[in-house]
Amino acid sequence: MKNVWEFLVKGGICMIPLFLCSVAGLAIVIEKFISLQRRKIIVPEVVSVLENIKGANDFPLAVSICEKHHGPFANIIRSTLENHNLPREEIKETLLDQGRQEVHQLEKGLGVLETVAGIGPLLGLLGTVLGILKVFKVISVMGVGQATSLAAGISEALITTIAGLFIGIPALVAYNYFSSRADALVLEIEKYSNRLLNKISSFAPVQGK
Amino acid sequence: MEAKVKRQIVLLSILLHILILAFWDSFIQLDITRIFPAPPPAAAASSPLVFDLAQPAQNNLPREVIATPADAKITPNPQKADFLSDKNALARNQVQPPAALPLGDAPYATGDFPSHDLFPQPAIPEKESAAAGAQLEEKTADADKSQAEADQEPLSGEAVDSTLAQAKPQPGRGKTLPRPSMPGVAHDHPDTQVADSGGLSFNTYNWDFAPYMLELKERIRRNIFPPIAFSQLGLIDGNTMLRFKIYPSGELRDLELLAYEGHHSLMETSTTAIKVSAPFRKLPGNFPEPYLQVTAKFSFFIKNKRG
Repeated sequence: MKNVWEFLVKGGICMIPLFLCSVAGLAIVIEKFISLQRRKIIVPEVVSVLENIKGANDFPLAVSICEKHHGPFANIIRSTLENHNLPREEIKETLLDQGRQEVHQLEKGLGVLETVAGIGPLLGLLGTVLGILKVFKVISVMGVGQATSLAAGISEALITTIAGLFIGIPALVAYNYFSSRADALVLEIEKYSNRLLNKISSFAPVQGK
Repeated sequence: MEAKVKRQIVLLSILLHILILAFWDSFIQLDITRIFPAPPPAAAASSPLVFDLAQPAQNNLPREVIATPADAKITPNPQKADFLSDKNALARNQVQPPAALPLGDAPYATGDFPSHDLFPQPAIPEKESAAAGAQLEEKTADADKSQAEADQEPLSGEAVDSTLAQAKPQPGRGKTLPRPSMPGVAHDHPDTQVADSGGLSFNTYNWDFAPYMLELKERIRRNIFPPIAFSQLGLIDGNTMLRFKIYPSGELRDLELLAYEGHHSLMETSTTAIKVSAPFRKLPGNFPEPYLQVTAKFSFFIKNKRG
C-alpha cells in the first residue's frame, strides 16, 4: 500500500482528477452492470402478458401488470395500451415519444463513461508534460550529461500517463460494451412494441362496419 | 434508479479503489525488476560485500623524529659519473628512443604524461619555505572556516560553480601549492579515463538535488587515485558499482559493494574514494527523506583499448 501510495503521489497534481475520473467511471460501470440486465428491462411477466393478449378485453389486465413493474419496457407497453383507442398513427407517435424518453434513461451515464475514456489519457498526458517541464528545469541546471537523473525525472513524469491509460482503456471497453447492450435492448423493446401495435390494429373495429 | 442506490454505488466504487490500492502489491507488480530480476553479479556472489566503516584501532607503531646531527658527514653527489646506475649520469646522458617503436598487441602506454616526479619543484629557500608554510596554514584555516560556514546552509547552483571555479588552479595567480593528499603519480594518462558522467543516482529526486550532486561528484572525483597499472600503463580497467547512504549530518553509512568487474584494485580505488570523501556536505533542510541513498558507478576504462 505504501509503495502504491508513493507511486501515485509522485504523479503530481494530475493524479487527483484522474482518481475522480476513475471513481466516476467505476461507479457508472457498476450502475450499468446492474441496470442493463435483460431480465430487469425485458420483464418476463410483461412479455408473457403481451403474448397472451387475445382481444381488447385483455388490455386492462395487461395495463395492471405493467403498472406493477417499473422500467422502460413496461412503461412503453403501458403507454401504448392506455392509448389503444386512438388511431394507429397516433398510437405510433405516442410510442415513439415514449420510446425516446425511455431510451434516454437506458443510455443515461454512458456519456460520462465516454468522457472518462476520452479525458483519462489526456489528463495523463498533461501530467507527463508538466513532469517533462520539471526535467527541462533540471537540464537547465545540470546540463544534458546527467542521464540518470533525467531518466528518473522522465519515469516519474510518465506515471500520470500510465494512470490515465489504466483508467481510459477499461472505460472505453465498458462504454462500447454497454452501448451495444443498450442498443440490443432497444431493438428488442421495439420488436415487442411493433408486435403490440399490430395486435391493437387487428383488434380495432373496421371503419364503416 | 434512486438517489440512495446511486450513493451506494459511488461508495462501492471508492471502496473498490481502496481495495485495489491495498492489494496492488499482491496482485500486480509494476516494478519490472521484480518480474525480470537482474541476474546476480558473478563477482559479488549471492550477498553483497558490506564494509564496516568503524574506525580501526590505532595500533600504529610509535614514530620518533630524529634530527640529523650537526656533524653528520654529507657526501655531495659526484658531478661526473660514468656509471649507468648513477642517476645523475642518466639524467645528463638521456638515451633517446628510436623515433618509431614497434607496436605489439599488448596494451602499452605512450609515456607522454605529466608527472610531479618528473618535473620536480624548484628548491625553495628556507625563509620562503617557512613563509609559504605559514601561508598554507593560514589558507587551510580560512578554507576550513569557510567550509564550516558553507555547511550551515544548503548550497545553490551558483555557489557550487563559484566553489568549483576557486578550486581549479588558475594560471598567473601566483604559486599553487601541491595538495598534501596528491600522490606523486599522475592519473591523467591520455588513454585512461574515469567516467564521471551520470555515475550517481539517488533514491529521491524530489528536492533541489543538482547543486548537491555536482558538489558530491567533485568531492569524490578529487579522491580517485587509481593504481599505476591503470593510470600510467593502461594495463587494467574495470567497473565498480557501490551504494551508500548519506545522513543529514553528512555522515556516511552502509557503504556496500553491489558489483564489480575488472581488476580488484580499481574496486578498492572506488571504495577508498568514497570513504576518504566522507563526511560529506550536510543535506539541505528541505531534504524529504531520512537519508540520501546514492548508487555510484565508477567506470575505469581505457580509450582506444586494443585487442
